[in-house]
Amino acid sequence: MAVAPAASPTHPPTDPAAPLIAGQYAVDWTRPLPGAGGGLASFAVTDRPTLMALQVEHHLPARLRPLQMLTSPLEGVLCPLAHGVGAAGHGITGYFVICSAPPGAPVAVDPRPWREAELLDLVLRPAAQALEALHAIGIPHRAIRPDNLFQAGPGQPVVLGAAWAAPPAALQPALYEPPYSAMCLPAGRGEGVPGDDIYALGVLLLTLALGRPPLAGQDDAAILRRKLDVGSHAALTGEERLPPLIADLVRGMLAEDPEHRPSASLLRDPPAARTRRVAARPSRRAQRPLQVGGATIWSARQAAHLLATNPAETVPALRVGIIDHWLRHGLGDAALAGRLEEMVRNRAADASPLDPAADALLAMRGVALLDPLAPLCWQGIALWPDGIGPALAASMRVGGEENRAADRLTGLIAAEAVGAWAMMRQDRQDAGIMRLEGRQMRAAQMHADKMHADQGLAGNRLAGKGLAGQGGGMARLRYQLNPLLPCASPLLAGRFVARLADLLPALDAADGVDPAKTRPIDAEIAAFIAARSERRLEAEIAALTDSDQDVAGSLAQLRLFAQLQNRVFPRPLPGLAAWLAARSGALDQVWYNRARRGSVQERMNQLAAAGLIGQMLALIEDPAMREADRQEARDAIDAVARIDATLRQLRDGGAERAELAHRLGQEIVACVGVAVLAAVLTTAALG
Amino acid sequence: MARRAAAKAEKTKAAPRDGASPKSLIWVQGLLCGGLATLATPTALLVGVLFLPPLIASVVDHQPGKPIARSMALFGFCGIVSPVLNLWAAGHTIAGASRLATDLANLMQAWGMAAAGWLLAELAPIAVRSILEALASSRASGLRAERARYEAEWGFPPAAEEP
Repeated sequence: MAVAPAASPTHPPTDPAAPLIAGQYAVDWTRPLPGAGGGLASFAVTDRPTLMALQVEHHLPARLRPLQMLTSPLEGVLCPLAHGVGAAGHGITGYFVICSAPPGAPVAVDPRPWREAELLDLVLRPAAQALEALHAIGIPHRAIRPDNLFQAGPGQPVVLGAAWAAPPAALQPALYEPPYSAMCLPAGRGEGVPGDDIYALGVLLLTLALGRPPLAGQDDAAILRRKLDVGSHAALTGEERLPPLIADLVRGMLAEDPEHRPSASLLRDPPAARTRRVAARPSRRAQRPLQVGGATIWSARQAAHLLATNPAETVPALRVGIIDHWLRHGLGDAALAGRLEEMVRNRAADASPLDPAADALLAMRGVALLDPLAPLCWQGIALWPDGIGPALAASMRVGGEENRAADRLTGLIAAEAVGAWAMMRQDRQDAGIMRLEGRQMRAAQMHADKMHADQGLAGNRLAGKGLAGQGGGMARLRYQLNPLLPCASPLLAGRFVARLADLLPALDAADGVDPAKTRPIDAEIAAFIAARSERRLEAEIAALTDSDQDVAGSLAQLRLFAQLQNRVFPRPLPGLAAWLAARSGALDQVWYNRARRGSVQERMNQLAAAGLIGQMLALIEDPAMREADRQEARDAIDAVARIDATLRQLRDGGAERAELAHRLGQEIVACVGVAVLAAVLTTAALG
Repeated sequence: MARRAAAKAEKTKAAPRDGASPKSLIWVQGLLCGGLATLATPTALLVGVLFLPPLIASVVDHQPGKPIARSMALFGFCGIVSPVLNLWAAGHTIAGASRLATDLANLMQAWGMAAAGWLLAELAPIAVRSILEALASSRASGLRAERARYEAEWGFPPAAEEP
């Protein structure tokens, strides 16, 4: 039984002109499927009753890797079939992931204690089988929880819901996540490891066995503290009575170290999985607690958590040696105390007192040393390195927890903390690759500053202040790390643009924008183009200036869009071309001859009406015509100079002309006199 | 060597024009006048009376080349040709010269011609200057029109000041 749509299935298609996803799926946004998306909005697919469309939230991009790798359906999990932009109603578009529709309602809608046989046959084995297939291709599910687990009916095996339309584990409550994932920013939990799925499945088994969620009524922070204080298994099971087999399985599945949890393939045979016991060393508890910042610490793990969540009060204690003294004398771990003391001493010698990141780096290293399983902790936030991209994307969501963390994420990348963190746990991952990734992120972040330095411009890297150098910075990094993140420019309001090819038609169709006041590119679009064009348009983006009201800025803008049209959308764009033409007033100055300006402008308008941006650029940059114009201008300047000189000569030549007139007059008179005299003498001589 | 000699010759040639020549000319003129007064006293008397305005003009005209005096002399000479010929035809006597010199008609003819010479010498430069100014103004108008065309075609700023 599929989840019933809220509206009639005979409802007519809402927008015939809406884009089809993968050329065949139309989202019927008038028919939402409540509860089918496991926390995301879901809709029916027109004429496809067995499918559903999950709507991707703007600031929580879909998982590209599973969407690319899950090309064929897997049993026991709702696999993606296609993804793309579709109609989201009211004239706007959204990004959708097309999946198989759930076979029934989520198990969360009917909370009841499940029997052991049901848990094993209907939940554990089908889920383990699906997870085994996913893990075989390197994809953790990361969204196993009762409201994303579906059952067609009583006695039917459950099906794992879709987990592809949001960052990994972004929608997971802390209860279903291992503590080292739960303490992270929701969007920064990273892809994770298969063991994270096993942990969530263990909590799910526990929840279903009890008929209610453990630690009900406690918030995520309290659940996390409880898990860290006493361990996940003890925190969640407490004094609850469970079937012996389930209790043993859950104990193994909730192991703190993911490597100690049973694999999915092992869980397909629960009795065998039950026998697998990994002797994990219990966390050492101090004989006397340490009081720091009002908190009471009993273990190194609690100390690490306090250092991660409250570095302002814990770092001073770390610097003066209070914590390593307690480790040595209170906890009795002299080796750990020695390593911590050495680390603090080395870092104190290395770090500049003026370096604002020194304390953060010290705290980050301290956490990694005290608790090797902990994620990267930076100035009060925690995340896994591969979750930086989604965390940056979520930081754009106004009011969210990640939004408050945006500045700290910037500092984290600027300090290349990922590389430093990886060096602290070389036994768990390839520190070299992590350092390289951290360096690349910082390079992308700093790109704007470098371009500013090259151009001699004052730094205005933060978005919204201008365009110069906006090919870099955090915005570009955000788009680079999130291939499916839509462009956040307000110029694209209502349109979901995640691919470069979709940008130009979206700008072409933009309405409600006054071309005279608004340019067709802003900092977000520049960063988006820079990230998506993979450096092919680097020069054009670097040439952008803060204004398009001068020749350089206007020409750079026109050149960028011409290149884009040529490379990614070779079709007419009359709306965008008209917008660019309206903003190209400064390009008149390219031409010296006014008549030529007029004819070029007229031709520009014709090309704009035809939507040919490339030809508009070619018209402006025509080298033969530009050179002819320049030569004629030079000739005109010379001619005017000659005219001015002659006019000056005429103006200043009055005295000279008077002298000439005097001399000429006298000579004329003399000539006349001589002539008259000659006539008189001749007359006299002839008698 | 040859160049130095040429320069010296040029200097010696220019020197009389500067100072010695006018004085020598005056002496020559005085000698001629003295000879004329001695050898042809009636003619000298008649010419002296009828040629009096040009002589006065030659004294008061300080312009280089004495253009006023020259013009009055040329036209005045035209006016004395007829009386001098009459004197010579009448026997070239002092009495005849006195009679002709006091004849009002001869006086008016000779002095009138001198006056005409003066008037022409004064008016001719004015007339020529008017013609030259008209030509310059016409040319300036043409150039300003051409400049305005360039300004319109190329957007040049107008001239800073009108010529």
